[in-house]
Amino acid sequence: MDKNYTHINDDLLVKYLLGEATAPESERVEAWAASNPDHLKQLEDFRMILEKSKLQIDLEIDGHQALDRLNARLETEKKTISYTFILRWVAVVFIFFSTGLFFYNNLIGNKINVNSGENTITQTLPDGSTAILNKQSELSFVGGFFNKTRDVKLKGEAFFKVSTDRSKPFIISVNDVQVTVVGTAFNVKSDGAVVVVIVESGVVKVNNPNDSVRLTAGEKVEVSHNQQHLSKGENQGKLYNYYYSNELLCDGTPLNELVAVLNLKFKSNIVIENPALKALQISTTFKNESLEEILTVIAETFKIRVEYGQDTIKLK
Amino acid sequence: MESNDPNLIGLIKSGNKQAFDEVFLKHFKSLHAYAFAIIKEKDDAEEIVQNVFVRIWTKREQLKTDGFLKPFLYRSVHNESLNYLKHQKVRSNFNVHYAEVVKNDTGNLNTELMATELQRNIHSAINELPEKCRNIFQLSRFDQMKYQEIADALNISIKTVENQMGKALKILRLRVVDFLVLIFVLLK
Repeated sequence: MDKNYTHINDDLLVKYLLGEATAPESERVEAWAASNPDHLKQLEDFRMILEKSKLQIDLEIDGHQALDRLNARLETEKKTISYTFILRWVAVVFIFFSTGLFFYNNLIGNKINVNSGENTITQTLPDGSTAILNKQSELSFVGGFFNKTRDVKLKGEAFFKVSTDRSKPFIISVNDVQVTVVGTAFNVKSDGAVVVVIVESGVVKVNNPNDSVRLTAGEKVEVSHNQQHLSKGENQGKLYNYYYSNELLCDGTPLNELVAVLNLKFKSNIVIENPALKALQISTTFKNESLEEILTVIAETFKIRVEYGQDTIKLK
Repeated sequence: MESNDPNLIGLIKSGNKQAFDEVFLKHFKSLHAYAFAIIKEKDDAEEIVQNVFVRIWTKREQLKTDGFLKPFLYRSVHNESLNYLKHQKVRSNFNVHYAEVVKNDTGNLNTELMATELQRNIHSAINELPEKCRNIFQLSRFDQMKYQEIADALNISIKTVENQMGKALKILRLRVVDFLVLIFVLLK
């Protein structure tokens, strides 16, 4: 740049082109441009850029009409937005509830505690199995997704129909005995000292800390506390199911067994005085008969006497 | 570019449709002209401005209340326009090819295309100016504001406006100097 024009800079050129320069400044710029073709070229470049960067406002276009078109578009846009918004929340709520339901079912809903009290009750367990509890029995169940087994703790007596699930064994703990099932129907009874397991269908494995035994349909095992060996035997009749079938099914049943069941069912105190009578076998079915009627049938069958005392009933 | 810009942005953010309409009416024409300067399509230029405003309204909660409305609008429109051109390029490769052939035949069209191309280049270069520089330049050129008006609006000295304008021109000239040479050759 020439010495004379060191005070000419870009700022001043722009100022001049935009009409912001003072009269003396304008004169200086014009002189500077005339002095050198390169100067003129720079000035012309600036002019071109300023010219081309100017916006050409379209005078035909109407702002209010454009606003109407914008609002029309916002209306349709709003609908799609609120639709996707609702859809998103529906999905969130659905996932939330199904997760909640899953955890509820598998953590809280899969635990059951029941006490039958004075009645015989039928309890459906969360896994679909059924347990029929005799009077004065107590049962707790823990199962679900987060447990590898279906654990049942039993006090008293219950009949089980276990739904099949090979991946989750159904394990009943009663006293120190464990009964492991896959899917079957069987009866478990405990009077505090002796546990009796009778199988109606399927296979059941019974073990205590010392031994184990597999029972199939029609077999039973009696286990007393800390017994060394478990030996299974044939089950006579279906007397064990009196409390849920409401029938006394005697099929070659010894009299003492029937009397024990009668004492439980009617809360009576029947005593067999003569030991010879205990082994007498009876085959019959009682339905809804009263205790007196049943005892009358027994007395007539075996030709024995029934004595009604104050607290006890004696068979002679 | 008024001092109550943050106020207006705040109103829009809180869902005031009247404030939104006001801003649209006030800036629509210059924004439309800006988009048109880049894409050279009248109807599509309106759609580009619409896109920007639809996005502002539907995402108004995310607006930042500091800063000025107009530079933000210009920038949004510019980006939207470039997006449009990108799609347009893919859509009509054939048309471009056809135009190239014609271009070699008619000198007139050639000049026109060059002028359009120059303008587009200038606008791209403007958008890449440093923020302060860009805001001042756009107010001067797009909104025809005087130095004093710009200084008042941005709360800066008139000297700063002069400096930034000089800086902008210097940068822009470097960016488009090749085009300028061509334009002069063609115009002669």
